[in-house]
Amino acid sequence: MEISVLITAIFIALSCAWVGSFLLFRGLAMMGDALSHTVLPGLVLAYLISGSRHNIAMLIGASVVGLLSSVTIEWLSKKMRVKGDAAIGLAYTSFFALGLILITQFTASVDLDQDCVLYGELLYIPFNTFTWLNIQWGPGALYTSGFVFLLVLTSLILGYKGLKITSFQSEYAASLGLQIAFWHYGLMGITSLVTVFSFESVGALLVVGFLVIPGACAWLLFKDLKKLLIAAGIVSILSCLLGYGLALVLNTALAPAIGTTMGAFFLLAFIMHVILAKGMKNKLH
Amino acid sequence: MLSYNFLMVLLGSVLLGGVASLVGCFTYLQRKSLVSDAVSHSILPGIVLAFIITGNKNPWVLTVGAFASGAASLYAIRLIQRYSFLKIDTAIALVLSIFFSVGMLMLSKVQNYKSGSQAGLDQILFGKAAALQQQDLISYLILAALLGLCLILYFPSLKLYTFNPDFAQTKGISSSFMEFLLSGLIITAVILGVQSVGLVLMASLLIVPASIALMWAGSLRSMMWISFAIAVFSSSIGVFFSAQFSKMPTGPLIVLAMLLPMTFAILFAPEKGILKRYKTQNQNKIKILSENLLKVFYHMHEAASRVYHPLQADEILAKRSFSPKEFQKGLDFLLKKHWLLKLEGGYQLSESGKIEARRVVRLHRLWELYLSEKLSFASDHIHGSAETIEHLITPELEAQLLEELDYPKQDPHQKRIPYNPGKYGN
Repeated sequence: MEISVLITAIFIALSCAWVGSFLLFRGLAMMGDALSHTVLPGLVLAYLISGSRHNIAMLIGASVVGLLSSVTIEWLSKKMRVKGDAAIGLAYTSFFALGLILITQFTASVDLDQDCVLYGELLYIPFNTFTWLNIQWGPGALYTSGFVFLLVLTSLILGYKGLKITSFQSEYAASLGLQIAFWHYGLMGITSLVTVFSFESVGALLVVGFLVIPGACAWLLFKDLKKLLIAAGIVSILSCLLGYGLALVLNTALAPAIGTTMGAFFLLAFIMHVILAKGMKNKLH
Repeated sequence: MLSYNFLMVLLGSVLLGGVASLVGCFTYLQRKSLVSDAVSHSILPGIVLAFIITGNKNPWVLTVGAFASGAASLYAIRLIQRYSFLKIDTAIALVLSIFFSVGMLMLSKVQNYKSGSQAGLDQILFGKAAALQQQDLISYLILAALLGLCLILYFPSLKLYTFNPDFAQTKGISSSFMEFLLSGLIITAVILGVQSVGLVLMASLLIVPASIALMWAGSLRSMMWISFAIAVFSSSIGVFFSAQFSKMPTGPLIVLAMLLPMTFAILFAPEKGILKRYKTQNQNKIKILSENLLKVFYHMHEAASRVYHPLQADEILAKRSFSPKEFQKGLDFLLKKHWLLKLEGGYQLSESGKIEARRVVRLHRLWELYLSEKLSFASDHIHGSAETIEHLITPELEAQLLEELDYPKQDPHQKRIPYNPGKYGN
């Protein structure tokens, strides 16, 4: 068992879960799905230009493409009056298609292929080691995912109040003079950053589950924001551990196994939520 | 070279895409686009499970699997909405990601099979029309024919339910039956479209043709025709290009091909197109500009006790400031309309120009009077509003204002309201 794989998975799952929770509160779950697809062309271009997978500056550049897509979606729905949810579907499929074409055209120049888009390569992480000053520092993905985790953690701690108020009391936040657009695009930006960095481990298609499922589980059971975020974190960590076991037992890719485990947690949380709600009703009667 | 049979397969898959896009018109109009996105991702576990159980890739077997998990996903979205506070958007994202994860887990398991019978199953993700077997295609075409039949049979009630669900109910159309029917249609459309586009990008086949079609179409029927044409056009580009390049999946090519009609529509669509909106904006601008110029002419003649003499450019500019470019544009427009004559001593209103000028000033003063008499605005608060509204009042509205105010002679500033000679005692 490779401990580095597990730690990488946990870093990514935690980053996704916390960023994703705020997407949920703002009714932007599908926007998160869209972003996780639209970063693909930026990502492929970044790989093509820098020729490496661990060029952090390039990866941050790639997430700008994701941010661009959220502006496109707004333009489509406001100016062209494409119905709101359709604008999301329209933009994400177009960006993603572009990314896929780039991949099939240039797979030779970057070691990137459709399987990576689909399943991610968590299990291969130990083989891509990171060398600096002639010393082997271990898997590169471990460092990039750790970097993202720290970035998300610091931004959440620094922006906690602003995010909280703009998510739950947007009118009040506006009357306080808070820049709603700043917090919105800030969240969009960090979401695309997280999806960019999750890409090679989780794959572009499964990130959305990592973003929304843990937060939804926690939201069904907790109302206090801090407790909720802690619960979402616990769901993510447990899903990584159990998913790792599942992938080993079934001999499958790791990311879908973690996603499936998260799904099982959601089922559990949903049933508990329904039972608790029934209990409350009975008490009232 | 492409053989005859191969060409038939490609054409068939193009047709499947076209039929699927018809259902997109209904989902688009009912704002269910992302629901259909969830369904297209959610048929994966059903398809793979059907394959695991039966061990073959017969289209009917896979269709049954797809139907089962597609229906389950729709039901799950409803359950989440009914029993929790989570919004539709969240419910869709949850169901989509959970079903898709499970599907990918199964697919990744199946990939390890030694027998090789699973080969090509993963092509369902991004589509590969060229890999379609001829006898499979026939099954899907039968399914497409059934879908088309359903659409024709239920067209009137589907239409009524889409545009006015409440009224449909009073006509005896049960909404639960319509939802059931629509679910079936969506799942079938997804199964058909997936054959060429693949399930990851399937949503675009249900969204893009419909959204483009709505920019041009005046009725549901024409919207469906246009969307069918767009889907067939883009699918053929995608399908034929991907047949030429073995590595290229079909789906992304189709999606990119749809950007062509999309861009065309964004630029040239009759109402919402960028060019049309630009044109309307310009027309409004020049209308307002020329009407403001006419007013200056009228006011100066009025100050000169209505003696019409030619005016110099600097006299006009002293009365109201225009930027030089604007001023020239406005004058040119008025000259072109023959509302203004260029004489030796300057510019003078023509007879038709006088009528226009009176009209604008009349509307301005009528509106001022309306605001102060009927809505009790103070007389120093009405000019600004009238400056804007004078450009917008239609002849019908003018007639109504005249009647309401009983054909007044003077505005609140005791200025004469100008009528054309011979009208209302003038």
